[in-house]
Amino acid sequence: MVLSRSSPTAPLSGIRVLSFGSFVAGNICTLMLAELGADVVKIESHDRPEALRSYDAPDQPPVFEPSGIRTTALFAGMTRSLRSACIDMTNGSGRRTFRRLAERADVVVENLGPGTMESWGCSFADLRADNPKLVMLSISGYGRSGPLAEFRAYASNINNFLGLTSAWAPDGIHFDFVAGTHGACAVAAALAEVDRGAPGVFVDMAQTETGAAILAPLYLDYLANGREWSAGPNEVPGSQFSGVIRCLGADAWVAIELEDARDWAVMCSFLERPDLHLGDAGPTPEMRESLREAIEEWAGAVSPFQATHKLQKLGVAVGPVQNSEDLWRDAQLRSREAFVEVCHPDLGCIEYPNAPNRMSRTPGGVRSRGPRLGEHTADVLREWLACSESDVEDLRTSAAVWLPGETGDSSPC
Amino acid sequence: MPGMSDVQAPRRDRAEGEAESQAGQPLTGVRVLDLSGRIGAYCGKVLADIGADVVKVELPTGDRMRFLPPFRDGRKGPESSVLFAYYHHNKRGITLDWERGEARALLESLSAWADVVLASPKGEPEQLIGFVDDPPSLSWVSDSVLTCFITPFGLTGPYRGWRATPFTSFAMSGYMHAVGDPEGPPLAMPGQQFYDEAGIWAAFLVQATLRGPRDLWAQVIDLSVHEVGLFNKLGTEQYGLAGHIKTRLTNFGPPPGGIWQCRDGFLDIGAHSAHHWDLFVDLLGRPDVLSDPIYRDRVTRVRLFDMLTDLIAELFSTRSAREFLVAGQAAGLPCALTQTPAQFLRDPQPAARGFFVPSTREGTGSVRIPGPPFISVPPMIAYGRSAPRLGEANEQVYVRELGHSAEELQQWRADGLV
Repeated sequence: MVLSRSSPTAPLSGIRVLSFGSFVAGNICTLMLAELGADVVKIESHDRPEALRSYDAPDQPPVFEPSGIRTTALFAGMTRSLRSACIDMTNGSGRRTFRRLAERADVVVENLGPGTMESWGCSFADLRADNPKLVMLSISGYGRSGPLAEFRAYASNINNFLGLTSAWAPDGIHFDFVAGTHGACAVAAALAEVDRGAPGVFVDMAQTETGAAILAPLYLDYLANGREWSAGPNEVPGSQFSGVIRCLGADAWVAIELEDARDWAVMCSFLERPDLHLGDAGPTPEMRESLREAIEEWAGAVSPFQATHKLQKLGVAVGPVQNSEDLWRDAQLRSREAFVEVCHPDLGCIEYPNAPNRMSRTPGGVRSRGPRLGEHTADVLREWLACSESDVEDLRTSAAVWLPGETGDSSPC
Repeated sequence: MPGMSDVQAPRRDRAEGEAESQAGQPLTGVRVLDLSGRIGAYCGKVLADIGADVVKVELPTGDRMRFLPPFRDGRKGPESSVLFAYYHHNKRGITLDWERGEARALLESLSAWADVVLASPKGEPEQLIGFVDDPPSLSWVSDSVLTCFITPFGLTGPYRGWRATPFTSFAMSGYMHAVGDPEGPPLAMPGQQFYDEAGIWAAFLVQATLRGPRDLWAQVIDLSVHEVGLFNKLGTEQYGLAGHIKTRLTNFGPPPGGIWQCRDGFLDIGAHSAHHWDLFVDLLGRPDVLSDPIYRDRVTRVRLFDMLTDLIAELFSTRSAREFLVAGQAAGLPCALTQTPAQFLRDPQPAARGFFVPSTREGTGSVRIPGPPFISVPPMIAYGRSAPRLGEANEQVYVRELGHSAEELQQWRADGLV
């Protein structure tokens, strides 16, 4: 059980973040900031809880917090280390409360639909009027300008728009992580820019652009030479050979890449196939096919891990194609304690991937389990705004905020 | 501002006599020595984009990426890789044979110049001189310099010496197994995206460290691509949540999420919020076959995946993807056309936002390359310098900045050290 592991020297301690970040991109970005020490307050709505709070798997019974609000292990995992404050942005009193918090924030993060922050009177210009050093990160599918500024997107849409789906396969979540990690990086840069004297920083982050930045290998031949991306499935341009080879066992595969002529020669010697040795011109398609057949013949009698161990000893780049269970049992990840168990009063104890923050002196870490809806509303009002009990009660009565009330079990574990 | 008094701006004091510039970027004044090769190329690029002075150190034979395609006009050669040009825009470049013991003195001198050292001592065939296994560190790195290692598996653990590429890293990430035809092999995501995601993590951790007090800069980051891959499983289908093993599906869903073949192309729908089902059925004109209210429940749609997929595929087969896109977006349903990479490159949206920037250099000529991954007011990213020729900054760095003599540099060149 790891809780409150955050060290006092965590590099972002003292940074206050207000977040309307939701789904993967918004939550992951703020989780990264929180686990290096920032105090991140996630603003939630009681009437429209985030969809991930009810994003159940078919064989999982619905889980309810004591207040009757739903939660899921998925939601709790992505919102761990965050605090939750429940503010009603649909009424004036709630919006005023948010703006008072924003005066005391270093960073506001949002990935809401187009125009939502503006409709609340909480655009960057509005908020910076009361907080001249504010950093605001706005994550959207296509950016907040240009002909598609009003378009909505989930990550699978980004894959399709960018050409990754047509070059690869249907898939759904990748570019949410890409945007989340770029978002944390951009916030760190913006905080430095403010320290240098910038009058606040507004970051307009398009998921399509963070995605396109790391999809450059698919684009450069067209940009330079007018040639469309044409690599076949599992073909790595520039390598002598790459393949995903069937091994012994059900749905068992190993991935092998031979980067250069030396790798090719090592493989031919290992397979005792001197006839496949390369000339100076590099492999022809026929030679690649012959090598593939030779590898398949050998690999069909060994497991993916056997194949990996044998070829890694020869210095070949090879790895088992792991499924999610293999990953959970992965000896390397286990030896480095890459998982973290987080216990939750409504969900039990669950192992999640830890953040890869391997820093020798300021590692940060998981600060708390995923929050119940509005669990920290009163704390945040007291700590950030110096509200008294009666101030908090007034805000509750005016429906500016929602408090979950006495829950019986509010202990973290 | 709360919490800001005890932290220091992420910049190094400039050398005495050096002009202090008013203009600048977040990392102006921060010096990064980059020996991390391909695995850290994106990290160095992001740090350079936001103002750090990133000096890429290559072996005298050249970085491996110089020999990877695409090449301008198909001409192979160390200066004609467009891939290298992209990943090294905004960096300077020097050469040093850091596999040789004689390199140690120069590495010490370079380290004294730097605030941050990026390195990847495992997983590449090259061996970095001065690497100490336990705890992982570099013996020639000066006090108060941040060392950031980026390696395929991390520098401890049973796989620490394994070799990897972006292709095999993706295979081991748990991600590849679930993508592709159920009968055929799992499919690798093209590009080097997990290397680059590790790069953006590293750029984040480096910046966060530089915000802290100077005496905490002297630490070691041991970033593992494999752990970045694991972290990306935090989203869905984690084994730890319920013991699920995700299988290869030919569509992504549940319906109406997924890709649909229309009469004029493919349409992708993302539908993860409760109200998206109703929006979707309205957009299709409320067909009777989709009218059953039980379909409003996402879990029910997961259970009825195949049946609903067949029904919806039939409805889309005669419709226009383009018309649905316009109507769907107007109604607030996230959807997109399935484009090729080239179609994206011709799309008006990135052009309207000035996403592509010019790279002009010997060997690759004038090309447009992807530009800033984010834009801001005020701008934090600047594009000045195109990627370096092999050893382009040798004299500038070794002689003018580190104070060695031209004769010494001449001798190192003759010895093949530089």
